[in-house]
Amino acid sequence: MATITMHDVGKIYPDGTRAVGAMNLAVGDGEFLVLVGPSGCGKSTALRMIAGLEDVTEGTISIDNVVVNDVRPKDRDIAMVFQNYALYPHMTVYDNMAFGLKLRKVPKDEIRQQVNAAAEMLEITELLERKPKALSGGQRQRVAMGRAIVREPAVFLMDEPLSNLDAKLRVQMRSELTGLHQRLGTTTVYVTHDQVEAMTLGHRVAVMRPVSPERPYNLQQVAAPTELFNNPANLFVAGFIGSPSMNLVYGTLTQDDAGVVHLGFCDKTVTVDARAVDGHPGIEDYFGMQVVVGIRPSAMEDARVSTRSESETIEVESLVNELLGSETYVHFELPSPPVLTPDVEENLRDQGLDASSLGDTTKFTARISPDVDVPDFTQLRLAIDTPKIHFFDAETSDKIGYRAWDDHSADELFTQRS
Amino acid sequence: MTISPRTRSRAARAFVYALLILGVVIVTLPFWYTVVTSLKPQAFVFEIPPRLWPSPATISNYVEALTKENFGLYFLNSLFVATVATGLTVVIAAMMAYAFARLEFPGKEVIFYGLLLGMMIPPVMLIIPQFIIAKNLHLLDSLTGLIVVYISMNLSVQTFLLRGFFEGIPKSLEEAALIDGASQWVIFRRIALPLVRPGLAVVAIFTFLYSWDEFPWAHVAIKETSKRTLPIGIALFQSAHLTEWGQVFAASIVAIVPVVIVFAVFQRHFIRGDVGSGMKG
Repeated sequence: MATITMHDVGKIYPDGTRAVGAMNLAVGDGEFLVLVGPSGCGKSTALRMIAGLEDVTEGTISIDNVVVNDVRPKDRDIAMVFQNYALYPHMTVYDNMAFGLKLRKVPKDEIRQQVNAAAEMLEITELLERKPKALSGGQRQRVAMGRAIVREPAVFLMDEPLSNLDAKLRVQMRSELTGLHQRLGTTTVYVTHDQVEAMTLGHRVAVMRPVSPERPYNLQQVAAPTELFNNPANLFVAGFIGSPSMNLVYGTLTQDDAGVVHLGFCDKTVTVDARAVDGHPGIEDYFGMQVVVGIRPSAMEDARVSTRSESETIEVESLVNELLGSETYVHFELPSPPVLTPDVEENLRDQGLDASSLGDTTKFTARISPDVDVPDFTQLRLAIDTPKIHFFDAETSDKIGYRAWDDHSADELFTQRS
Repeated sequence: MTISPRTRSRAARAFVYALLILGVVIVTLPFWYTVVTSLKPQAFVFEIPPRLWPSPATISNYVEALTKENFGLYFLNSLFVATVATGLTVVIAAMMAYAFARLEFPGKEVIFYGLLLGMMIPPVMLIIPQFIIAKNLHLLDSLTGLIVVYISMNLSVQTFLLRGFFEGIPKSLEEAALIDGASQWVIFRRIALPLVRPGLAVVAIFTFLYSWDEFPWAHVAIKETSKRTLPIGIALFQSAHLTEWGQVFAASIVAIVPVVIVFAVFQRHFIRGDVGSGMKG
């Protein structure tokens, strides 16, 4: 059992590139923390620094309040699961799992006992005498897990351990990982680029982003999955978390004499629930200015089955409808230029797209109840769950009124949790 | 007239096969001729046209060659020199190659290219300087001296070869071992070395072949009869007036046997490496 604290940690490679900057993070005892972000966001580098496989250029990393910057990996009481599993090809599964114990001079009987127990837990007992090349991808993944848990380390570090599995197996292993963590309760830091994995596995999720000269830090937001989803710190987090991703459109807020806030976007106007206004402290300063409006697909519903008031609905023409059985996605376009900020572009780049793919209209997706029948190319009235609307500063991309992440010191984050 | 692609590909194939068969003939004919001649009585050796089948056949060449002078001693000398030189070359080259592949130290590449430079000097050019150094170090006329020179002649090539093998090992394997608590030596000995077995087999085969066959240096360095190696011994079968070619060839065939054995023992290791098989998918 252990806590991990990263204090102002930075990593600059010998060639001068900065991979990680100003990273402050506290992982609580027994916590499952996920580092998530697009490729190149420094998540793996951060993990490898905790493991001791990369030198720490700036700041300190502590495990159980002991600074480990100069402690060798083997003395950090950690175990790591690698993306490519890194099983020793010339050893049997048993020897793979026993290797670390042998090196630590654990008595033979004890090794046998521990390996067998771990193998049983992962249901790989019948594979113990096989070599890695005789195993399937999923089995290799289990053996890699087994090698990590058999030593009963204080910390598990996992570097995209499921990314090489096919989709079905990944879902299964995901739930097994959760089960395993519940049983062992070992502090875990888990790296992934898959936001679904992040949301389902993590007690808390740290969203990271590549550093840039203007923004020499990676961490965007560290929060529980629901918090990330319901209260994203900025457009980057908003766009990265959630699938399909949050709809964004330029809009303007105004307040009438009665104090009711109205949102105008494109040729539509809706009233905004007071809860949304309260959720964005200081939003008054933005009245009359252009802001970025974020509406999750799940915050929209066919007006016929919604309880929202008439003033919270918009009339759209559906283009394509995807019926998934449990839900229906309605795609439509708004005749308004697409929202394009550095954050949005970065998210697009991660999906292999660029700004030109947006076209010159704003594309929206709404997730509606499968009970209503919506033919393609029909007029449709959508109700917007306005308490769940997000407003972002069009210049900075930050959520209006959001308390910036760097106000949290590592200690503060930790006390918040415990 | 146009040639259909099919005809063309057939013609191309015929050409390729013809070329390959020619290659096989060029490679095997001398060997076959050696075998045949070793079984011929002396009188038939220079028969024109030469017979490609030994009739009449005799094993007297073998009997005479193997009982002649010190053939047995020469054979054992060669075996000793080649085995020790091979063993030590494998060990030293593996350690050097691992260091060049995985450790960081100042001047690494400069030293490595210096080592490669050794590969580019024709060995014959080295004989005189080698002789002077060997003389000063009292390495002449001794089997140990031969071993030292054979190792040094092989190290650069074999280190070069093995470095490539070590670099082919995924880094994450070593990182996994590091986290498992392995020291650099344990990683080398228990992770890296077993994974470059195919490379070690290649090194063993080539070094053995070299040390077993080497003639110029052995000829220069060894004067004492009892310390001669097999290539020198076989060469001495030839004399100015009468060379018993049947015996020369019989001795050569016997001399091939250990090489074939070494090859047979080690070749199974390089049929299939499993360096990548602990990885994904």
